[in-house]
Amino acid sequence: MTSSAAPQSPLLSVEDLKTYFFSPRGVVKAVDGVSFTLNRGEIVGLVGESGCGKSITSLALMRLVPQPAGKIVGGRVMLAGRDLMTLSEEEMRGVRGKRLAMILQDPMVSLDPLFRVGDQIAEAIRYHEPASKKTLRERVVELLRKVKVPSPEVRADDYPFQFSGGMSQRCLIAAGISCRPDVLIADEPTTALDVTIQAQILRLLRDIQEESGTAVILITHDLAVVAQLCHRVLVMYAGRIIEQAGIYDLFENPAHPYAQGLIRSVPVLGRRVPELFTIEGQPPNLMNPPVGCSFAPRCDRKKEICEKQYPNETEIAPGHKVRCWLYG
Amino acid sequence: MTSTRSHLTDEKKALKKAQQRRYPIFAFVLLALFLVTALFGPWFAPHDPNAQDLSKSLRPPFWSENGSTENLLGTDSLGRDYLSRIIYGARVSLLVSVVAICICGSIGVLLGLLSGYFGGWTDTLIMRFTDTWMSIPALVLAIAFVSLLGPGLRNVILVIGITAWTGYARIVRGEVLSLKTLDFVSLARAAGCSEPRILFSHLLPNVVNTIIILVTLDIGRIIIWEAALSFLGLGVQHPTPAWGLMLASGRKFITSAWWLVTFPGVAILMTVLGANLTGNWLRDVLDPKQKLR
Amino acid sequence: MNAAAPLLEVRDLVKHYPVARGGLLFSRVTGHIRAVDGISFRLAEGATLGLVGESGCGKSTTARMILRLEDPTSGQILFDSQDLTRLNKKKLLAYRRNCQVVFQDPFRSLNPRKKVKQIVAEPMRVHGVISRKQVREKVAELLDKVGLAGYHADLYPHEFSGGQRQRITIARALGLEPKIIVLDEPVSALDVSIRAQILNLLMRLQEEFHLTYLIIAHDLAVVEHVSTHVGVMYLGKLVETAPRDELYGQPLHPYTRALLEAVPVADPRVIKKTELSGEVPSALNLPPGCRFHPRCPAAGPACTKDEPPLTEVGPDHFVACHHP
Repeated sequence: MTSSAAPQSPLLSVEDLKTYFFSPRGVVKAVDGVSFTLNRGEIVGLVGESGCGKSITSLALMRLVPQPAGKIVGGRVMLAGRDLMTLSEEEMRGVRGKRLAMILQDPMVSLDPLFRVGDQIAEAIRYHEPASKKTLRERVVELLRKVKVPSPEVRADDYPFQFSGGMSQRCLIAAGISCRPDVLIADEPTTALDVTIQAQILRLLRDIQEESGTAVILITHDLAVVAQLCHRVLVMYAGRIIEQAGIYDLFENPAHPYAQGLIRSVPVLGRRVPELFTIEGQPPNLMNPPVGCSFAPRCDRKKEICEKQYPNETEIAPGHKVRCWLYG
Repeated sequence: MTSTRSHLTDEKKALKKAQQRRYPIFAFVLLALFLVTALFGPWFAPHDPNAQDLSKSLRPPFWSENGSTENLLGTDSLGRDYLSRIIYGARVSLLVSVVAICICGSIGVLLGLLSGYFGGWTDTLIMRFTDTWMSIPALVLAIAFVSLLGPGLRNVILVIGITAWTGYARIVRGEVLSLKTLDFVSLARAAGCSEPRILFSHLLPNVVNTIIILVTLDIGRIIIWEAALSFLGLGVQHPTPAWGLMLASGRKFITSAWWLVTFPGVAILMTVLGANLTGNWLRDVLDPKQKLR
Repeated sequence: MNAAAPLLEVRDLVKHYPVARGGLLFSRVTGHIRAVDGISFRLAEGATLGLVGESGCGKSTTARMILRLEDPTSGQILFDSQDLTRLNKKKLLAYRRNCQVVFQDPFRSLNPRKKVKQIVAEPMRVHGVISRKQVREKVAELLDKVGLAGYHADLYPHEFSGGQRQRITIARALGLEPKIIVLDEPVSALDVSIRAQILNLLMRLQEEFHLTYLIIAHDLAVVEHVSTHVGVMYLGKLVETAPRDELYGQPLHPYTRALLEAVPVADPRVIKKTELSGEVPSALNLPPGCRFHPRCPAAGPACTKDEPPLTEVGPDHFVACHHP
């Protein structure tokens, strides 16, 4: 794994992002004040369980939050000096795909079954970099070759149903990197894949990232995938980032009780225990949440203040921040 | 605070907007009107609908020249009070729709359940039969049945019940096809549940919402059917007041006594509209929530 | 898999699905999907057999055949020395008392129109084990065993989280006091922090109720944690079976080794070097000889011609490979 990029002004800076969902029964605060930065050439993992808000965060960055229930109600997203929240829809379209690209989870449903794969990738390119049909075709074949699709000239004319899960995911990665974006968001890119195929795709992502220097936000619930691929990790719980650290730091010295519990409760190949460590209780209900730390009901080390006020962010080591009253 | 060029939404405004509920009040009123009239009509009908008085024949509604408040909507050619006939006509429409829907609903749902769950030859046979039945013009079927059984209220209900089930069968079959892939059905089989139990205790309750929507949307269709059959002389017979029959009898007088055709027509229109709009609303309300997750 | 008669034994189990080309009225069968193509294994009482493999290997189909939710094309399934493939209706019902199941998706496993009470009590009611009056008490007892409260019995499934629903399914499975419980990916649809809870519960219940588990999973770490024996499947065949420690310690089949190598480890210091190339071939068009040979780093000439049989290479350790 390459080392983190040298310190320079961050490529992407997210400040206090808030995305809520409004329904007759109340407000679901899916993303409730998320702040982080992304440097050039970095792979950052956004880790959390279902409902923690990681996918919505990525959709909010792309301004693709499902309407009409979902609305971004606060925050700034600075990309190359511009706040994406102040752009018009047309300007935003110029950003999506070109500066910020996204790969979604299930490759089998991300591709339109009615169109050839090559045409779909070409469409992604054409909007941002119009070119002749021939040029586009060459680029598509080149991209497919890059993502190690065998016989790319032939495969570009195939339809999605002719591709397996792993191959489809490669096509999506090809489409994602086609316009050389600054930031690539990969939302659970290997969750729907078999483990041997997952290993291939992870290797591919790592190779592509090293070669092109694209910054990547990898969204996943799988700590092992994060350990394999990322330079830095952001751990989310109930709509907020509760810990951020470099990859070695997080696994060696996890600070937040939730992060500790998560790391300890996952069965690890080769590490035998008589009983797995568990985090008691259930993930919280995000509709009309209570005050105080959202992890408090499940925490075995909670203090009185934990139920009254949400913890502020404390830096416990360079680059290692946590939101927990045990530390601040 | 949102500036003029911002994608951000104001939190309070968004919450308020999400909490507005919209109900089709108009549709509810129409449907309620129909039900109340049909069920309680006899209590407030001003006259006996069958009482003839040739001296009062063909009186126009009360607001016209020659009209009187004694017969608010006028009278027909035999001097019978039209308002009372309209009111009693609603009863016929309600009776026919309820009973006919019970018959065709039962047939359709049962066939749909069997077809969807068992698949294979059962499915093929039932579906081919359904397709065949559907491809015969319903009117031809109705005429055939009526010539066999004779006209009249009871037979028209039977006829509609036997011809109108095909939609239920197909839609229920579709629902069952997707339901049976769900694990709780496999769990029921693994527990040793008998097939009738799986069909009626597991699958049927999950299809009920769809059936409710179908039924509500069908009320309109069936009322029109009854009216059409009665209009053609195949349904309800004189002197029973029924909207379709009243339309037929009024045809001759369409230019001279416009109210004879207009009021039954409007009654049918309002009832069918109310039922259909309510059905649409029900479908929007029930369907998304009933997705199993 | 000791000398005593196993509780469950599978012999040359085969399941082929015909693939038909449709015509207007009649369709022609053009080929077969060989989902399970002749597997044999034994499950001893009190053991936990983990069946692992990737999509298309046939493990779920095997489980469904053992549960008699599907009929095998050929082969035998012996439970307590009775051949399940030849049971009449009554005996089949009696068998079902002994073999229950927990499925993967907690959101599809519970009938949304039934109360938890009805769901948990159903198998017992179907077999006449308890009367209506006894339902409340028995259900409360079972819910308690799986870590739920008594009042949960009167609620509907939609009020529960994924982990809780899985507990309800487990409670239901326990009601008949079965000998075997088949677990088809019991935790893969659950959140990471809940998985540990459910796995611990399953292990506790196994001890308390003397259960035998057949667990189907793709997560090798989960299988390692709960199993006593492991079987690895690939494209409808068993390529290796062994007691757990043997399999994880000395994997012999190249596919087993590739699988173990491919599993990402939650430790950034562990760097993966190689991964298995190629894709899983289509089940309609199987490679000749050993099914794994196109992707196998150790393939030799014999591998393209003959399918290797499952041979015993150590105590209870079977491998199907020409050069393990």
